[in-house]
Amino acid sequence: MSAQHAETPNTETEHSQTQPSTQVSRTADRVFAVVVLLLAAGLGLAALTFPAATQDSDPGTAALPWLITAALAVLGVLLLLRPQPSAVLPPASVRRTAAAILILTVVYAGLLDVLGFIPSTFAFLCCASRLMGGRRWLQILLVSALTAAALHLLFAGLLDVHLPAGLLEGVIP
Amino acid sequence: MSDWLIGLEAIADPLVLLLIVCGVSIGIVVGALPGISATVGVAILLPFTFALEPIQGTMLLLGIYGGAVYAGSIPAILVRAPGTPASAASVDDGNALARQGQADQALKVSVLGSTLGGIIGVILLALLAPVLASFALGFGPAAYFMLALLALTVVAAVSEGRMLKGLISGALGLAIALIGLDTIQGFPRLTGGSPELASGIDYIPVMIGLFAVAEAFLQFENRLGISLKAKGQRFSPGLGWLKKLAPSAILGSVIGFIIGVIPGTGGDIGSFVAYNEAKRAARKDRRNFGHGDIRGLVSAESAKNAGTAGALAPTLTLGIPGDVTSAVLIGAITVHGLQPGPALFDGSPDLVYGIFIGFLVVYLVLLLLGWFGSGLWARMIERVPATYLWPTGIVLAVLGSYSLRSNLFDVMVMLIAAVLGYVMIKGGFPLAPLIIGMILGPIAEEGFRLAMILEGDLSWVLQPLPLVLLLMTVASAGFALRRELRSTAS
Repeated sequence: MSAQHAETPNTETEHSQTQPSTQVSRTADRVFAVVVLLLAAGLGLAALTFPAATQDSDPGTAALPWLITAALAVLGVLLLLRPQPSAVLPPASVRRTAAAILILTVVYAGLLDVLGFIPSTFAFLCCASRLMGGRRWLQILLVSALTAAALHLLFAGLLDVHLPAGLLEGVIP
Repeated sequence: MSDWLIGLEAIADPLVLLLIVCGVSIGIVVGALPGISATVGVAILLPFTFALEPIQGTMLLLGIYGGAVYAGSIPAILVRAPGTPASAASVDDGNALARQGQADQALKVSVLGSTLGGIIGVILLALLAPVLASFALGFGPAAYFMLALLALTVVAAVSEGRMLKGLISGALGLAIALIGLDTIQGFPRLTGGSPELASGIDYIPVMIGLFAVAEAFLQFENRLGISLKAKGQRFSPGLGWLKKLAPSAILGSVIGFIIGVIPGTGGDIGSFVAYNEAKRAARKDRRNFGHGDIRGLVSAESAKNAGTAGALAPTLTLGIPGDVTSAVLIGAITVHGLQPGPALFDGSPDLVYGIFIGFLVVYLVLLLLGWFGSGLWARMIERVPATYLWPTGIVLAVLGSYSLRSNLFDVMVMLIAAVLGYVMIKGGFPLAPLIIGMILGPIAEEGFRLAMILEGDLSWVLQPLPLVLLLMTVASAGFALRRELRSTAS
């Protein structure tokens, strides 16, 4: 990953210079630690139901799950004891954009089968380019339509990938 | 010799050569853009390879890999912002040269170093890999368990300053790999009765989500532009210049390759080690290092690209990824029903020897494109329309995971991985251990259990090869622990 995501030891001074609206705290790491501990508990409970080994010296199907449970538990406790400051929530100014692209992508994947590849991709590209800061509508519409059509041509035509036709069933080859 | 001819025949196909040129060009552009490492580029373009022949798809991805690892240095030199992590060691000397009006010379050193490193690396790979593969045919389950353990330790160990989070990430990868039928007893673990989960979670959609889509989500938050203005005089190299560079470049290439071979590393660390060794080798003449010494620059540059070839050695001969990008390559090969490992050398010589020859072609193409087009690339990189690039990247990711088996289940897996990756990056968790853990978990478990079943007890640990690997694992864990303790103490 690029340098911008790397954790720096002096996050607090860094953030006051560059991203004033980002909240830096140790809470995120504490939440992560609890999630890790819950995962460990869940995995451990599941492993209780795994059958015993069928061969004498085989450690069995539950051995690795137990080992991972133990590792997650120890690591979770360590993280809880030594949380590092980090900024998990995006700055307030872009929080809506961040949420929007996430929801948009999920909706796009859900509509793929219903609307078909070209219509849903066209709609997704229009909205996402707009979110990305595109302002000229005509250009957005044109580029989105061309990209959707070109990708369909490339994948369905050249690469023989089956794509859902949806609304355009029977219209496109 | 006939294996080499089969490989040459596989590469001497106009489409393959075209894909190499496309791959290198795409690689140069994405590698130079902030946020897109070689891994992100390869993960986004991975879906294109599903419908191609294995050698065609692999060459496209290797072109991107070589091109991106080189091009990460363009912004490192011009604006002190490495485009990929492997270029971090080039920042000091490269940027110092640029500030002295020597940007053109620095870029030429970078092209030359990268391609020379790549070429020497590929030659070493081609010489070493077949030997390693025939040796690896005799590896038992114990050796595979120890290798997987070593790679996992190294990956967690190189998550500098974030070892705790690296380990959590790795354990999470191991846990995800548990889902599905266990390979020895056939018991469905963590499937919740779902038939789709019984066959396990494919790591290809996970990789696409983690690396491509998570990065795309981040780009919607901070839209980064980049300005690459190279100032100063044109530079025309002479023989003396080449003579000055050669020793550091060769040293860097060999170091980069060797470090790249260690499972789980790659070019990121090799370039720093090579830089320090070049500095040490300069003896009294080292004052200029860090302030624009072309020998320092060329050693880091050659090492990072030699690392790409080194990383392929464990990937091809053992099926154990040398770094994260080669983990994606494993995905590109397994999608065609082939399994990287020693058997691949006998079963698909066209692919294996084609990769050796083709990767060499990649670096020759890179030399031409990089040497004569550095100005052109800088202008192209500046003009990449982020407005359409990232939305299209998400479409490609959805399309890619859908086309894997033409179902929405894989798309769902990809989206969950994307959200997970986004949260992990934000929380400072490295992603590499997760994917390496996911790939190595099953190898490690099966190796351990088979070794126990075959030997009846733990006596296999004392066999020569497993023992050597165990000592290496303990050493790398100890090294990492010491560094971690030091960094928290200071």
